[in-house]
Amino acid sequence: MTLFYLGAGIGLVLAVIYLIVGGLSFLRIRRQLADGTGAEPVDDDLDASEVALVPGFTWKASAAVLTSFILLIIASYSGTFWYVLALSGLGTAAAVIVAFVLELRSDRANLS
Amino acid sequence: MPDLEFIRQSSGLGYALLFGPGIVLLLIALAVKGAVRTTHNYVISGRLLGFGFGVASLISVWTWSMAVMLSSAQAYTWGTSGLIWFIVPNGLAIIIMVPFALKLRQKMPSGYTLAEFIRARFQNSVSSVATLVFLIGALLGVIMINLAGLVLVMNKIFGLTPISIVVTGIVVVTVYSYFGGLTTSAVTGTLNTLLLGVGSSVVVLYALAKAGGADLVFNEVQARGDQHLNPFNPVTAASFGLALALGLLTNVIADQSFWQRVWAIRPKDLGRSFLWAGVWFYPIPMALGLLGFIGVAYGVTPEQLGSLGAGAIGPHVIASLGLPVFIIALYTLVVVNACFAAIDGALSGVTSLVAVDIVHRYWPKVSERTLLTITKGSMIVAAAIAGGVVLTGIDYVNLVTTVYFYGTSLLIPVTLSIFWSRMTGTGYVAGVLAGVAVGGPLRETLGPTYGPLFGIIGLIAASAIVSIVVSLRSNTRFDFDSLADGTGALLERDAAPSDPDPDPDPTPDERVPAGQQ
Repeated sequence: MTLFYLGAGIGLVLAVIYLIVGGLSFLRIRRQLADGTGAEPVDDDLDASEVALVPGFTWKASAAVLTSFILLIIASYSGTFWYVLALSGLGTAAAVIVAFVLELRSDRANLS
Repeated sequence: MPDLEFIRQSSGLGYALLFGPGIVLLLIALAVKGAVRTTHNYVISGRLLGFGFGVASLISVWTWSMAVMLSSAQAYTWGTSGLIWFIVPNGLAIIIMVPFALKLRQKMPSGYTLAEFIRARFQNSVSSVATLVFLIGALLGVIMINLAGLVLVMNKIFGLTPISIVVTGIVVVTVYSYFGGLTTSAVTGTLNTLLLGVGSSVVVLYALAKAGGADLVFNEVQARGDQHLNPFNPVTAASFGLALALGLLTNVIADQSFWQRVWAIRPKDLGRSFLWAGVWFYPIPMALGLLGFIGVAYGVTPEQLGSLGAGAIGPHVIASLGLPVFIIALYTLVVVNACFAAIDGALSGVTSLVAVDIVHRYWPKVSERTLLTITKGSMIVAAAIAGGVVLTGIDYVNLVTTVYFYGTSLLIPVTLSIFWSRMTGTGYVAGVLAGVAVGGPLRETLGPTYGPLFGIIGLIAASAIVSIVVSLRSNTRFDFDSLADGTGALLERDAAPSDPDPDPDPTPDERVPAGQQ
């Protein structure tokens, strides 16, 4: 049960941060939609060069797929490792938080 | 290990778990509503979705309610080999969208839908209408499958009747989705991803502890001496793995919910959003799959799961382990919100198709107010159709798998349309028809075991060969840069021509001057 309490505690902290950074991003979108900056002015400026490529996409994608495969192989031979799988859901929430933080930092840098 | 004793929860709690999230999501939708005043913003969120909402909403759109339960079902039925074949291609399907998304967004930065791209690419009514029909069919399929998932969990745990579940679920989702369009879908999907990530971990950790720990469960599964811990069980691949892997790749390509986000996420965040969504989707089914092993360890039999089949193993374990009500409620919320997020994503996808590919295309002179009203109304119509089909009692799961099977015929033609300049509209249509003509009979005649696998292989092979051969016969090269001409269709409506027929027949050897309307 210790791992449950640990996971629940971490999950609670992640949930609070998640909601805060998600709320900030939501307010940004809502403000821009209300201001109309999400409509014509932005669209007129649409430019193919704005589309950012993903550096090292092939190896990153391969590594992700291979990692998921290896994790499931390990899970076939170790029961203790199942806790890693169970806890990995918290990683999804943490990753989204990181994405929000990177987005907010980038927006702040563009404003300054 | 002792036998599990199934404990049914109160129906009142079940309804509370259906209406509760609906009320919260409705409040969010009302907060969005005031800011969304145009059809453009309604269907594409002003192209303002950032990295965070991009990743989270993509994960939620891809994590169907059935997927939440199917990961447990695969572990219960096939063990780790089932999880491998179910989970690995699932994440890959989103990751593989990155080159598609980047190419299309670069070449057609002000697009909205895949059907719109096909129309601009080929200037051919047949190809764009066929694509539109498949896209709408696939979106209705998403709604139906997710309603099935909702019925499965609410009927199993709370004993609610399928009719009441379907009616309540579809009404709740439609009401909150109506306000705000894609922005609402992105926000509610992001909340759902939080529930999927944290919720699944917390529920599974508690369930493992209650079952005596992961090592005990593992040892019990191992002691049964079957193939559950053999990750390379060849029967799994032959039975469903290969067909599922191919089908999953198509599901994303033929799903407007994803294409809508391709044009809604900010350009600088697009590629990494899809990559991260694919990568961080993986933990969710990995965690929830463990519930299936708990069922195996306790010796749950298919008879105990009843007519709902292996898909019910997750809800069965959750309701039988003697877990506290808040854990059962949390698991139910994970499934309910996965259902809601997938359905509101599909409804939002329908609005983009109706606004851009039907109303704007055929009635370009309608006022903005009328267009927005029709666009919003299309959600209600789509929800009513999907809910109605489910309530008729027909085998809609079979209907949906059939739609998806034939939707696979889009995979190669769409891919070639995006990456091969020599692909022609005739080749596109011929490829789709050839896939249907070859794959359909194989699927229907080879039986339930091999039919889907060889059917889908035949379908893909036929559509690829015919698309390429037919296209090569015409000596044309498409200028992808021409797609960048013009602004978004919903933004240039005031300047649209009065002639509603935008499909002049191109001459064979001309470089097609495409744009958007």
